[in-house]
Amino acid sequence: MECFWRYIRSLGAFSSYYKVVLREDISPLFPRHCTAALSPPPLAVRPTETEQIGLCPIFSRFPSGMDWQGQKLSEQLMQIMLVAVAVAAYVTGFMIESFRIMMLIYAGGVVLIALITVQNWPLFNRHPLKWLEPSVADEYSKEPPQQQAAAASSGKKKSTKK
Amino acid sequence: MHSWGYRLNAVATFSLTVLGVMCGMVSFSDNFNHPTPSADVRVLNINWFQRHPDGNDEVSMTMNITANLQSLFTWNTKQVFVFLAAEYETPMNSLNQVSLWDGIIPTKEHARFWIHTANKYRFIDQGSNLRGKDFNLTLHWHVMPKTGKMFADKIVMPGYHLLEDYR
Repeated sequence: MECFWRYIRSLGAFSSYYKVVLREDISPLFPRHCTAALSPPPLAVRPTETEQIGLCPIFSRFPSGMDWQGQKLSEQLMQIMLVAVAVAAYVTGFMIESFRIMMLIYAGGVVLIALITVQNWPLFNRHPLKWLEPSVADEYSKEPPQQQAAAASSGKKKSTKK
Repeated sequence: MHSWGYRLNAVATFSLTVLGVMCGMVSFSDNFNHPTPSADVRVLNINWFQRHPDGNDEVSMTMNITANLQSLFTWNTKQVFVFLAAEYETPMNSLNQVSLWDGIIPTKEHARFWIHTANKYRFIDQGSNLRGKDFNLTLHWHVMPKTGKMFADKIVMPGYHLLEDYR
């Protein structure tokens, strides 16, 4: 139940969520046992490509790794550009009095936006996540989940003190 | 937005939603069009005017239909369906409408037309009330849009008359 209310509260703070995740000194927003769709993996062991994507292995052949900031940027770009293309298409069609031209401009715009936002260009990977060194992660990977989350945050502190 | 499939789905769904909104706006823009159509029908000849064995009257006539419906066309018009109906009153029905001719106008260029034709559909009454009848010829049209609301209107042309006797 506690997980549920945390999840609901988090929806209101969604915009700051991406910034929160990147800070290394606080624990993730959700405890690991809460299966909220938005929860990030605890930053201990770098998950395999398949685990990260969460889809069947066939898709893992195409790396789709955008970082969190990149995903936010991609989504915002998509929304703003789609609305802009729609407005431009409508105004042009209205002026020329051609329904066909409006649809052609819109279709071209959608294809362009799909090419830009779906593929993970380097633009979307400018803030990559920092993972632990493998040796420290291995030490803690055999412990139960709750202790692992606590150990992960303390583990990070240990590595920075080095 | 963590995988390319997820992002593709988001683009597809959002683009279709925006397309729906755009089509709604296109249909709304049709309300700003104030058309000024004109029409005139001349009945050249009553070919025959008989009564069927079962008691219903039938008329066949040749008409000249002239119309200019160009102002009905907007950027959102696919075609205009136009039909000519004879309207009259009988003791049994307060309004009888019998469609005599119809046509589809595909483009604005075709919307100004002149046509010389006999009635395409049979003018048969319910009963035998047509002798000496005054009737209106009304040109109806339906502006069929590419997307959204269809507009329909008419021009009523009164003053047509059928003779007292069968021919």
